[in-house]
Amino acid sequence: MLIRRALMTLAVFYLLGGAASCWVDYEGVIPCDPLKYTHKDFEVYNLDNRGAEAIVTHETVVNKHAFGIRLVMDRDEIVSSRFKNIFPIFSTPLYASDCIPNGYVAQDSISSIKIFTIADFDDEHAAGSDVSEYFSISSTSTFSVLSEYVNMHGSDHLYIDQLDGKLDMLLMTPPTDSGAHQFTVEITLSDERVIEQTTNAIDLLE
Amino acid sequence: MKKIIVLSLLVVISGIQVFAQDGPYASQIAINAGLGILTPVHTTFENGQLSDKLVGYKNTMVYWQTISGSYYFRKRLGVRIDLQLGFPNNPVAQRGAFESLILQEFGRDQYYVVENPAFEPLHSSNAYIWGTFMAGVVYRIEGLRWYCYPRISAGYSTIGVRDRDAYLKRKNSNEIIHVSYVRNVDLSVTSSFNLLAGFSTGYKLTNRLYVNADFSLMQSESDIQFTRSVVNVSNAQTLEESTIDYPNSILNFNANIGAVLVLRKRREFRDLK
Repeated sequence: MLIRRALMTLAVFYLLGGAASCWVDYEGVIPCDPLKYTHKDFEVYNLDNRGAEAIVTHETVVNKHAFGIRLVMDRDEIVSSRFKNIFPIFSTPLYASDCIPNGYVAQDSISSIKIFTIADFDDEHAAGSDVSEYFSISSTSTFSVLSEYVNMHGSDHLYIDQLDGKLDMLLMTPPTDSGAHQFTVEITLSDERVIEQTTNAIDLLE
Repeated sequence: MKKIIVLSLLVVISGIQVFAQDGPYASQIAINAGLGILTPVHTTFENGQLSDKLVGYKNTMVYWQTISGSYYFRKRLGVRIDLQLGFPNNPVAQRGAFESLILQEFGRDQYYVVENPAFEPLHSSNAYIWGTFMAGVVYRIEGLRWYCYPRISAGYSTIGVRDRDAYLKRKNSNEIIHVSYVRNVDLSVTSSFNLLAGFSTGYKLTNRLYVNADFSLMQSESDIQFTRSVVNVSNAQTLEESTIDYPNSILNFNANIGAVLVLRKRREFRDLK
């Protein structure tokens, strides 16, 4: 008898959960209340790209033709209220929805990524200038200038293992004069937050 | 032990001789089965030349003599058809060799080969079945046991054509270049016209079963071209674009061993057991 009652109780919860997941809007599409992520912070590292692949360097000197900056994003996942269920197994929708399975959408997308030089860079870019145009984000088969990249990927859907992703921004036009350089990376988010980080000083040599 | 082997051989040979009673030129219809290899006389890939074999497959290929038959309408003259099927190695297996060749061209001391995240489009892993169909005329020179059948044939072979590419990263630099060879034919398998000259030779084990070896030279002709592009990925600038001709004629050496089964004898031999 006790087992039967327990089973009945579970069945009621299951049916209620199923009924909730069956909610369909007037267009016949199941409303999607997706998992979201928010940009929290990021870290910057100097890159040495002399070899087959770019590596983070803590040296004070790097070849100016093989220099780059790595951004390591720090994002937090925001769990949807829909998935805050005391009985998680009952929260699985019975019908497919337009949500990306296990995917996270950006709550605050990236509006821009800019790089400012702290030292004089060349004749046209004195200290404090925006030198974003000299950097490209590389993914081997394509190189995108920062603005292009943001347009294409600023509000990407991500999976849980991509939340702490990295971006390699390679210096495609090195400074005319060799010497010590330092850069500030500024990320503007769609909620108007501005996060910035500064690289360690490094000598960019021929 | 030696005595046993010698005695066994004598028994086998005498047994064979009992069966091999027909005179020469007895067969009228015969079929062949065998296993062979096909390899270019002048290796293409190893010499650094471009060919579909560089782009797709290794030079040497093993094939099955799937359907092969001869019909002798005269004592010494007949016709022969051959259908051979082979299974070239997976083209992905050639990727490393291709990249090595490209690296050699651009300078190992200046570049690294780097992984291409868009690997799939140009490095399709689809293998294909190689096939050739040849038809020709065969002439017979036969003794009581040994025979030699010179022949000439013409026909078509399939050619697997694959696109290839490699990404090279310059040492001490952020620069990456993309080298690609893209075929000018829509299909990944096309055909070539072949001319073949060769001969079969062997030994008659019985009246109807021969051990056979086949040797030939096969000239393949095709008009495939590749577009070679070198693009600086860093700034999307095309550094080079040219058309590469597939070697219009490749001379292949073809060898196989197998058996000949006589299905029908000529009229004057049919009553012989």
